[in-house]
Amino acid sequence: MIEVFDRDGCLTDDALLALIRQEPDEMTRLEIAEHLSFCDRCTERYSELLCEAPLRAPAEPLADSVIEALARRVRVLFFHRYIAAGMAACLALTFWFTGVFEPKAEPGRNYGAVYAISEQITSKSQEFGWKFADRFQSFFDRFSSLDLKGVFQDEKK
Amino acid sequence: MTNEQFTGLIRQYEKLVFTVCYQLVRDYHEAQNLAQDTFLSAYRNIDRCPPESYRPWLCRIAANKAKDFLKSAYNQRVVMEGEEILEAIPANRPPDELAIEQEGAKRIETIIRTLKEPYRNVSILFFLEQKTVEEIARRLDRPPKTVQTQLYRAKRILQQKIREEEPR
Repeated sequence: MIEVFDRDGCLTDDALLALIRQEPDEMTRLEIAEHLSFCDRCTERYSELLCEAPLRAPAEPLADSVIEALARRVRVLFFHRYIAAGMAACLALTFWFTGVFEPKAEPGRNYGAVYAISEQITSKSQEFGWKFADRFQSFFDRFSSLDLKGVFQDEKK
Repeated sequence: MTNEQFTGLIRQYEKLVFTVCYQLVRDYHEAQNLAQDTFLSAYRNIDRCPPESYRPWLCRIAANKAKDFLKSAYNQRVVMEGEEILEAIPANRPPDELAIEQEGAKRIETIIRTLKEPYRNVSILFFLEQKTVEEIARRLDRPPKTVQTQLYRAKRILQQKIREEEPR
């Protein structure tokens, strides 16, 4: 039985070669995978050994499925982002037009300033609503030439 | 990196990534899924990796994906009998009880020191030197979750060895 780890807790050459020859059992493979997931030195050694080993090809080329998966992720991202914003805007407009945010009129009080602000906010909300609708329309128009990397960089920010 | 460049990268390294996934999980279909996940994960951080390091970096991501898959498929729950022997012996116990427990503790210590890596060092630090998981992770330069997993497995191995050594 081969020694999988040396005294320092790193993988031995025997262990890496056995992995390439597909010899280790499941437990050993899990231990090796765990170690490779955090040890740069062993990962480097393993990748160098793989330079000389025969590589397996996947049943189907990965490029198309990966790009399709990325495009799908972008669609879901945009959908969630804009639908959430749209619903928030609709809710706010509904509350505004049904008078939820209007203060009750009390005799002797001057609400001129309040109503002026209320008018301003109403017109801004309407403007926002139109802009949102325009953006939503342009999203579908632009989607076919969208730069996927730009979306993920925005997401990271 | 543009989409075309990333597509070129996938074509250049897909065999390598697939081979790493397959060698670890030994399931062709699963290796295909994991290889795809590897490139999806790589896409987010590809700009941070220098081109000369793409090879080991992709191997590391693939190994991580394979590790997660193997871990979820492999049940690591352990309940160890006689675990109290591994706890620190309190000072206010009767001497004869202490003597018996010291005997047990010595036996456990011997068994711990015969463990193989990667369980030996974590067991010595945790059970014998009373270090915390975080301290062990720092000292051995391993992620804390890996240390926890290795401790669970070490307990199981110790349990088995203790059972084998118990007189019938």
